[in-house]
Amino acid sequence: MAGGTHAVYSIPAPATGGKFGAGPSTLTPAGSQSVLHQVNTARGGLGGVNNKPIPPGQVVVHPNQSLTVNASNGRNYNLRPNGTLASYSGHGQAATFRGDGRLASVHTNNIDIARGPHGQRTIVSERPDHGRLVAMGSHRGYLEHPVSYHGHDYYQRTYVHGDQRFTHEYTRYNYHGMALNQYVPHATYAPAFYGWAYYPWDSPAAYMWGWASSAFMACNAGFFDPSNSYQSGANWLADYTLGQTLSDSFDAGSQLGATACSAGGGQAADASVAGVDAIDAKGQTADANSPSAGDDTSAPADSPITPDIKQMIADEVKQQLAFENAAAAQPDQAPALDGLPQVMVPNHLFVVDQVQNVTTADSQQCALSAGDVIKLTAAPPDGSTNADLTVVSTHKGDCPAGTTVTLPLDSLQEMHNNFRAQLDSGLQALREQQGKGGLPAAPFSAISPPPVPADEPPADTENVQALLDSQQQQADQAESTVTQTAFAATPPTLH
Amino acid sequence: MNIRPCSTPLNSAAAATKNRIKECVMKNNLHIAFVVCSAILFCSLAIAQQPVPPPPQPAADGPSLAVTMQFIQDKLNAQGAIHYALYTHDNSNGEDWPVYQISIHATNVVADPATCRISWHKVTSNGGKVGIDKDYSLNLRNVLTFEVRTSTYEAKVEDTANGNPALDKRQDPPYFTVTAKLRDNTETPFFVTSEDTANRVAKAMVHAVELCGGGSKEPF
Repeated sequence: MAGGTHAVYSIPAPATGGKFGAGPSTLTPAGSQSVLHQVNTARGGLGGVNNKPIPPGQVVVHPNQSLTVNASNGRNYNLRPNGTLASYSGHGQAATFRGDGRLASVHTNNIDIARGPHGQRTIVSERPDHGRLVAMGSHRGYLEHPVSYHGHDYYQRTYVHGDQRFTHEYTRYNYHGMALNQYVPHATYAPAFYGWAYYPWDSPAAYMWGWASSAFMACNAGFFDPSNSYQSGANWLADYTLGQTLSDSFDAGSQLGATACSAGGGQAADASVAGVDAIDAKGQTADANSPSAGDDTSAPADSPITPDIKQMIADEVKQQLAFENAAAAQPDQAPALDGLPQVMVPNHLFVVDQVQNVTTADSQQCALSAGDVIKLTAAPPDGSTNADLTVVSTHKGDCPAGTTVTLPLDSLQEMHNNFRAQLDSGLQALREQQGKGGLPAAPFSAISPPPVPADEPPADTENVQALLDSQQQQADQAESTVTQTAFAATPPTLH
Repeated sequence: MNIRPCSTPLNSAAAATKNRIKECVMKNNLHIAFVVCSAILFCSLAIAQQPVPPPPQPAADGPSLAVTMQFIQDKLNAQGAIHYALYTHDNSNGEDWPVYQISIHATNVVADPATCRISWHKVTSNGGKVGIDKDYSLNLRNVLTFEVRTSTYEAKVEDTANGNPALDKRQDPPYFTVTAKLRDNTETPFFVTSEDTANRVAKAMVHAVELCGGGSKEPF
């Protein structure tokens, strides 16, 4: 059942033509008209996109009381039992909606949009030159394209984040039949340096983070609180990776930006179209924190990253340091030594890097956002491209803690890539700051060999920010068009 | 591994031959399946978890913090009370001050590696009359550097800082200090009786500060 929601319609006796059974039932024209009339009457009391009447069409009733309406001009609507719109498809567009009427995702022939419960937006579009453009919020994103350099094939991502521009390199490999991109560290270190970060220090190091008083920390206070004392480099790196992940996802320049602290840790929100969709017929904005409607589920409050969870993440850092050390010693074997397959073991923790719309084990919809922590329940069976994970730490409005969710392996790869990129950056910072600011001095053997920089291809010169700006406009247009098309009085003709 | 051919001698009975061929085909199918499964398993293992040892623990550059702090604690506690006669000449008016019989005693010195702090209780007296009687603590993370000073020089630095640069003081017998210079521009002296002990304690304290992440942020 869809969250046990009461259906807002009843089916007239002859409406199924006497074929009402355990599976989906297609209603007769009269039955369809009757059910749609009841549904649209109920929708009249709802807000936003749910206030708009569903056009006439053939109605299919599913065993869980949800409805599919096949309307004219190839438009299809999936409705929850309570009459709210779950998804729409037609004219090369597909969209999903949250119970409160806000967009969750849009798919067209040239763009994919995912929206989080707090309005965060991830946009992905493929380019004719095999490049891929990904926007994560309005001021952060990257352009990815294949590059050959010194006999190696890479996928290079040119990131822009505010005024910053930098590149990351990835290698492609196959896992469970999927082609996945695996992060390549910018530098490798002496084994003793990995060891110094791995093992406990002689004494706890008192440390004050530079971002301790930043806006993103204020927004995440109570959810993530950095320690002020560290037993080891791994513990310090755990807070570094968590803090940087939350910082990266925080977009102070966004339209909601610093005012969005109450949900999602103030993560980047694009208000432009989501806000329009969320405005109901009475001119009121839908409340992202209101109780879930229909088949949505959300956490009523933060489930913070506790010290115990941080310690578990520090243990993951230690494990990854061992992998990175092994890979540094055997560069040819690196993809097998430090990548995702190494960590696909039960209870491995992943830190979510960007908004993910997911389905729970009981078929409810919810979202994860950057900084949420999820735990792998079991290694995926051979051939499976998905994995089940349990939500461990979560922001208010995201999937509730304890929920089991299913994620595709490429999403887990991206989380692992982000974790490794933050660790890569953190190791550089740790090396630079050792012996300062409260951090103990590393032994000479750990820091005397200089880091070995990766042999990286030259940076792309394309104006990625301009491409991202254009993509944002396309996404705005796509989001606007999909709702207009879905409820247009005169739908566009099929070509 | 080879796959056996499924042919049989021509003189075999037709039905038996058919069954044997069927059986052989099944066996070979199983064999092929086994080989394919093995190959798939091998491929899976090739990208599955690989055991990786932890990185090596780096050799410490010197004694551990615990050992270093214990050394500092033991040496400072071993100093006992330092007694000396203090001779003072005031260059501003050419007068000599009375000779004072001074005592300095640091007790209950605790150098804690867990907190990177040294704490102690100090009692001073002049002619048997107690002057200072209080607890002190030094956070090694706040230390920029240490200096080993003679008692004469230590007194000159103190008097100059207190606005009395014209005072010349001499201690008999002389003692030495290991003086910590802190980030807030203050100084904390530790009193020891011999120059050798002062140098050894200073070396240990510099090492402890490094292990605690204190010290100057300048490279040299």
